[in-house]
Amino acid sequence: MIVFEKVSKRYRSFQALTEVSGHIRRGEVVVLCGPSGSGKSTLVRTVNRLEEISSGRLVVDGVDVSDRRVNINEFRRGIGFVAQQFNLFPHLTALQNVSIGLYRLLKMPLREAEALAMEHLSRVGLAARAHRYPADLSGGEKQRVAIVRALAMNPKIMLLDEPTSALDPEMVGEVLNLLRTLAKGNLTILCVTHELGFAREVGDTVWFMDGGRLLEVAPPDRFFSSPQHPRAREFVAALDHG
Amino acid sequence: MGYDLDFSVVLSGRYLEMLLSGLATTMLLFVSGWFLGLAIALVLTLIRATPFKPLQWLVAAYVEYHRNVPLLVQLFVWYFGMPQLLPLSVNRFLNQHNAELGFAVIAVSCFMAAYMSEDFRSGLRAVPKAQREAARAMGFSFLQTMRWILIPQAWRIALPALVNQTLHMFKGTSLAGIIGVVELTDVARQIEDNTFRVFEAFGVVTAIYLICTLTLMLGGAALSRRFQLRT
Repeated sequence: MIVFEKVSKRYRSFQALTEVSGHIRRGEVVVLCGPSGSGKSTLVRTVNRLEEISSGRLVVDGVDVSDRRVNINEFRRGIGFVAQQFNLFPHLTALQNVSIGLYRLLKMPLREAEALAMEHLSRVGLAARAHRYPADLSGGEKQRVAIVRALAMNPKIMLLDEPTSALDPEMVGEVLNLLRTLAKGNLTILCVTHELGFAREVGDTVWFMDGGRLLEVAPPDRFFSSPQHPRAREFVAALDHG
Repeated sequence: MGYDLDFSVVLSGRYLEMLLSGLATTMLLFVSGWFLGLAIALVLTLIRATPFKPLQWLVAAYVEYHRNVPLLVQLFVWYFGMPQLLPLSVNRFLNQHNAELGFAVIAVSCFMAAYMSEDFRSGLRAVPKAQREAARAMGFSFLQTMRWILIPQAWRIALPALVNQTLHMFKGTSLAGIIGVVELTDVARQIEDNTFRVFEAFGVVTAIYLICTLTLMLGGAALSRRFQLRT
């Protein structure tokens, strides 16, 4: 579904990604971890070309992401993206945040789009909050709306960049519950997270990055119990003590 | 002191009619200038938001000309300068069709557009970058992102400044009298010329301007309350 072939990313003098190679199968849930500044976010953001890659090849669902002939806007509609900071549109209600893509991009009639958006919101327990503006929602509610906004577009792939890092501890649970349900479906998921329990439970594979390189790919149990790479060992050891 | 205030002269008969028609002209100039200005401002804002440098400089030059040259001079440039560049037949046509008002509308809307586009631009800059990214990641194109996500937030942020600009421009329409547009201030001057009723003529006009600007201010405040952007 997603194939990285020696993907590198350079900003002027900073090498953010160095020859990352790996592939993610359809329906696979990949948990991306590593210390901060290791290139996790950058890697996730190359998949929908929020970051252009400098060299290498990145093929997503059969499409070469760097290909200039690709209609990037249509391509992105098939990939849900959820960021740490939710980034809901503050001038729209929760319902409108979810329906705007259906209505403006997928050209669904407004009523249909809103009905579908409502259905999605109800499924995550936000029906009563549908007509509230983001400013009136809690962090956990905002992030659930953001996830639903991405899901409503019926993507094949979900990219999640630390979806729970900006949440107060008591709100992490509600978002993780939602992500658990997601992971059980047949979505292909690439998720940056520091939630180890979550990673263990729902991840099919852990990708460990450091210094812009993908250093280890392993099933969660093996990764957390006996990491192979020295940097991964340090990382896991630090987590155990934290 | 032998000055008896007497508004009845100014507020009846021919002079009342002149005042009303002056008010109508001022309104026409203001409303058409405002909407045309808004349209130009949006185009300028869009151009300035693209990454294409030479076009951005062109817009910057446009904005600086209109912000740094007095509106009166701009009116003169349009009214006295433009006809020199146009063929005689066009001029003849314009002169038969209220050229003064036409050029005044153009001058005022170009002036208004420069200020409005600056307000939109600072509004746009105040919208967090992540908003643009969230929209692009969903599959909105550059223009769709502008139209549905960024500009709706930018104008809410820019609203107080836009209201201010609007008031500024409303009063600016009074300069059009100098190139021969018979608007409210020009009417006051004519009435004063004919009647020597200085305080009455300008008093009534002042009251009319005040009523209009206060209405605009209240309208602006109501819009701000209704469309307040909370984050």
